Amino acid sequence: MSTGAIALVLALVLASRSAAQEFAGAGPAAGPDGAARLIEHALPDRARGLEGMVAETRWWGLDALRTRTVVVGIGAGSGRLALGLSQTGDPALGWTTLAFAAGAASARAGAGLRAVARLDRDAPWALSRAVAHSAHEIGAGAWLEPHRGWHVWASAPALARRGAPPLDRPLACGVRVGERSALWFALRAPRASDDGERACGVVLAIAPLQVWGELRDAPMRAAAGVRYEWRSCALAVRVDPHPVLGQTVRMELVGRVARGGP
Amino acid sequence: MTRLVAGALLCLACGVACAQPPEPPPEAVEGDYTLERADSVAAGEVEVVVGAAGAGGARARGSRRVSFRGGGASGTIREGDDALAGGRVAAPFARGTLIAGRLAPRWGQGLLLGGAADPWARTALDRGARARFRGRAGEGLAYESGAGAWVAGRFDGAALAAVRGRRGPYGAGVVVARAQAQWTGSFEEPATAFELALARGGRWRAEGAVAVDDGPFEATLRARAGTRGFRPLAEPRRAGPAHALAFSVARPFERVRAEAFGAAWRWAGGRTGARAALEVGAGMGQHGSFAVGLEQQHGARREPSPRTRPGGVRQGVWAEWRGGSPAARLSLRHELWGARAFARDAVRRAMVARFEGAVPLGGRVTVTHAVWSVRRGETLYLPEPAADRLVLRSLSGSAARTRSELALPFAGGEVHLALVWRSGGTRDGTTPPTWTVEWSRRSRLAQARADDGEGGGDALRGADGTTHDRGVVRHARARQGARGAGP
Repeated sequence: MSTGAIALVLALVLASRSAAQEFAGAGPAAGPDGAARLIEHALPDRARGLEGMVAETRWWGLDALRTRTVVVGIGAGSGRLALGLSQTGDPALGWTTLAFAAGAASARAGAGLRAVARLDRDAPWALSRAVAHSAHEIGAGAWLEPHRGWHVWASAPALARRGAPPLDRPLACGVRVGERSALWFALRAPRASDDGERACGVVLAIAPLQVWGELRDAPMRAAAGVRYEWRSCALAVRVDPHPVLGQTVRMELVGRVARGGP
Repeated sequence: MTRLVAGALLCLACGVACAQPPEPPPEAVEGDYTLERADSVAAGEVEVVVGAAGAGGARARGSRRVSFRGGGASGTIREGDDALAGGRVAAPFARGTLIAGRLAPRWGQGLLLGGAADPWARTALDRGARARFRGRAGEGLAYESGAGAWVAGRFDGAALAAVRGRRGPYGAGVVVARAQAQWTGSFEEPATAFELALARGGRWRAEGAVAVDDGPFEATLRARAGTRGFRPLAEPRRAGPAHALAFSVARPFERVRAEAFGAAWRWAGGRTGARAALEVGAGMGQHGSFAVGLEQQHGARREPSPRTRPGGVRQGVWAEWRGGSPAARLSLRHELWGARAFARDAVRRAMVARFEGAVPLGGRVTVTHAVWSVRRGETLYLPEPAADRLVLRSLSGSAARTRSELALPFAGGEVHLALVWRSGGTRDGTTPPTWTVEWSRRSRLAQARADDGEGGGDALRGADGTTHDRGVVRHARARQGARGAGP
């Protein structure tokens, strides 16, 4: 993969309509995804316990543009904490991301904050360089269950930022109806370069599998995924074809301990 | 029976309606506009507010406000507040009320004093004793009683005197300013109202309104006619269109309430305008609600100048949901306006989320995040409610705005911290954040008297506020005279 090609891809990334970034799990866009969702969207999971996740994303079929992610989350009482580390791309053009998120959740509502720091990998790591040259992003999110089985969320992952993030992620909100099997609809606010995005999807639970499909507009495209759950572990794969950029594949492995409702 | 027939005719003739959102009045300059809420202090209470505000590295500005109500008197005095400087004091006097300071009287239908800001509105939101907002029509001294009223002060930069007498539903008065006189005669009852205003040169204007309240069904019809050159001396910029016809209907269906309104008007220069909307809302549990609305706008919404390009058709659709409990509340709104049918060819789009939750120590945190994309020549207004005001933020371009607020009990009162930052919409993409610190305390002066309770029912802090105030993007319009505003 040449440097020029990577630069082109990154330019396309900036202009693309993906709503997810380094810590997006392989699950459906409407979640819940546990600690990864807290880190990525500032939406705390209502379940408590200890969770660990490793994931890899291969963006648009490019071997040189992979994201490797580790997330650890813990929930006790109503408090939720998550810490994530990821590395994206080759050293020449890639970046390292450190993220921290905290929130509070009950059975009917939750709210969280996320903070992300990114540092380019084109120079050896040094604390002074990290302080001076890293890009920052702070976001917030909240969700509610107004009725049993109805889940409404709003997430603004980049309320404030310093430096240019790989993706411009404005406010997004949506509603999911159902529990393990569900329908959902989401809206993303417009950016300077586009007219927003609308998405809908369905999740079907066929134990021990969970399968999902979703549709997004501008340009119209679909995505699908499957998750296999075994005891306290889950393995998920998600495929996001894009008519211009190619196919993105995400895989995640999640392990959970002592999870339960609040 | 007559009421039923009138209502049915209204429905057949019009078809559509909706709530009327606040919008800057015609005298407002381009940009943000601040509406002052009516006093919220209860009888026998005094409220003291001390605050400071700043932006970026600029020097902080201090402000003070005192509001009181007791013994039949009430008032608000402000200092250091650019948007709402001045004050107003009202006290009982000679079987009526004497008012000094900022004045916003309304007589009859408002043809001479207290005209509505919008051609489709029946009454002004900020004119009259019982208005939701305190207006700023003029300054001076006024007296109101059941038998009549008089006003002496400066309105629109000129000295003005006015007197009006009332007998039952009938009223008659005269307004004198700039060496001219204008006369008014009116008839007012709960279901019907009429006013005829006369000016020199044979200019005249008349307006009548009929309201039908037949159980759950409510409807109003308003018609206006007159000569083109008529302008009220007190508020010439609120003259409104010479000809207008407006209606509104509302009816609940089980848990769903449907409201519709329509209006058409013609300005002095022959330019026309029209607006029609349908809004359907439903309560969802104790604290939740959902509403969806459709609206079409056409033509000039403000009196156009000869150079103004005719406004094109705008179709809009919006949906708003709010839910949760007092401990955690979430509100979402999406609004889309297009230049073509079914809101296609989007010219204005906005999305707003607001979260409000309880925090330790008895405090509350609120985060409001708005994202919008507005085509050149269009303007969108974002209502920003505060304890004593409603600020209509004028939005343009593509940008995002975040307002974080924290309210905590402190020193016998409440301290309120707010931080606002905006990204995008400027050449370098950022603007300096603004901050506000405010401490307020309410104290009881004496035991409340039952006859002091004029107002006070619109509790502000900690309450939901009205639907319009808490909503997100509440109104959108094409900027008058903007190039490229038309299709």
